[in-house]
Amino acid sequence: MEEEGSSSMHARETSRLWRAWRTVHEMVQDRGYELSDEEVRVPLEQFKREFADDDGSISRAKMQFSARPSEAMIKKFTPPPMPGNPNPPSEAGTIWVEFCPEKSSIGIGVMKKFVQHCSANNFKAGILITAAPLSPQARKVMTVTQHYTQIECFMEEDLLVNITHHELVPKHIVLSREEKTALLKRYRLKETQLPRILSKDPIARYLGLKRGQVVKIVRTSETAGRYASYRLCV
Amino acid sequence: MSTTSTPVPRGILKKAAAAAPPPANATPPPREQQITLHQAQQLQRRLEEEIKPAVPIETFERLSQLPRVRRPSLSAARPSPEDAREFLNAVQDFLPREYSDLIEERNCLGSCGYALCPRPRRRYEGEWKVLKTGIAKTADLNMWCSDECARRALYIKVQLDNPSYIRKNGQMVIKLELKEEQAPIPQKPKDKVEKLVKKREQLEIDKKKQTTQDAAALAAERGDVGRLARQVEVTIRERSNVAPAKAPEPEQQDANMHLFIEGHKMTFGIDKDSNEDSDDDYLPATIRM
Repeated sequence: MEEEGSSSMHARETSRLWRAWRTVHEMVQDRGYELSDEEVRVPLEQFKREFADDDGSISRAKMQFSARPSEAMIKKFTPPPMPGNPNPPSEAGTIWVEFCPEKSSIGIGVMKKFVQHCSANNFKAGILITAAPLSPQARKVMTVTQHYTQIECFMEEDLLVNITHHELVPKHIVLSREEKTALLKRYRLKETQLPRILSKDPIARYLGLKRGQVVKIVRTSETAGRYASYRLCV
Repeated sequence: MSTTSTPVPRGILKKAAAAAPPPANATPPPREQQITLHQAQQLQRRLEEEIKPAVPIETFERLSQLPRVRRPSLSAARPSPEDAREFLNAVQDFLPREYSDLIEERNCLGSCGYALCPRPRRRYEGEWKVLKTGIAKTADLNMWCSDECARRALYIKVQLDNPSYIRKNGQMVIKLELKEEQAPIPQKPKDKVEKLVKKREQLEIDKKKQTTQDAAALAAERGDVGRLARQVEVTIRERSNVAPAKAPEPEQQDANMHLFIEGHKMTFGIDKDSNEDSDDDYLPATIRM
């Protein structure tokens, strides 16, 4: 009886982790990193084979991957050339994704280790997926290091479903700098005159929006067919 | 009538001359400028002095590793003086919120929330826990290793919440102290002997008390009620009544005697003729008095 209970617990945990694993891959792919469809659509059986321990439980320590930005993404996130800097480097770089094996709340130590790993291996961005919430000071470590490594944290339970697949969520497209200036010029707007979106908004977190970026939202409309609106991330 | 080549178009707006600022306001006099500058500098200084910079993350890391000295003779009740000094010096600069963060940070590492305690924290399962004193949330209980440590840590927290300041090196700092301990002094062998002797004395005293109590109970049972049972001289005399007993008679012979109540005669229910000239004739008979 007890064994049955533990095995069903394992099965539940495995399926949760598998769903989070898939969602995070879809998220990284949607952001413009290079991931093949085989990598994204991992069947549950294959997932179990890869990450299960001897006792049938999934080891989170094994669940980690990195992804390179695609050509389009590199181009999108390259700042425009300036007279003083004719060939500016792209802001997009390799991303590192890791599941945190820690079950209790995440402290400074765990966070520091993750940040150090990211900066030591020259990752431009890092995503840490945790089972428990961060402590306030660990969150502070994350914001302090924002300048040189873009660290993001998600909880496993937030990644169980991909929110962008919901039928009420319209398509969000991040604009590059040139597109943003073109938009502002076209409508003769100042940046602050655009509608806003919070950077902690679930979609903004999914796309990794930073302050000052503009996102184009394409909705279907009964009268116009398609309707585009723009939001500035604050 | 001038014959200039092209007439200059006249604007419909008012001339700027009317709105031109008076020359006095064009450049602020140096005195006003000085005052403004002085005020701005004062504001800047206050900003620097009054807004406390956040506690660096390294301090949190250091404090979450405490106590540095771990010996079996040391405990949360009697921490090593170096650790206690380090803890108090660091926590002086904390805000109450930052102190709560420190407790949480220590809990992340699995240690007791009180920074000077070397023991790990409790790990109760479930959401609630039934205690002798009532029901408590396990999340609150799991922050500490014991209730004593919770008391010690909250003693510091209270001092941060309602700070009293002392002057130290020309600066005002929060006065902090550790909770005073009623340390349970370990029993030495000599004390044990003394304790035994005391116990025996107490036992003898108790025995004496018991004997007197028993005697009193027995006396009470036999009708002997202590002081009240003292012998009193009692003389019994017969009452000398010669005349035969008579029924009592009223002193004043009056037919209406029975109507008087404390000297007043009640008129209620008595026929009208007896008090014709009364003022309250118009009142119904039932409420006339």
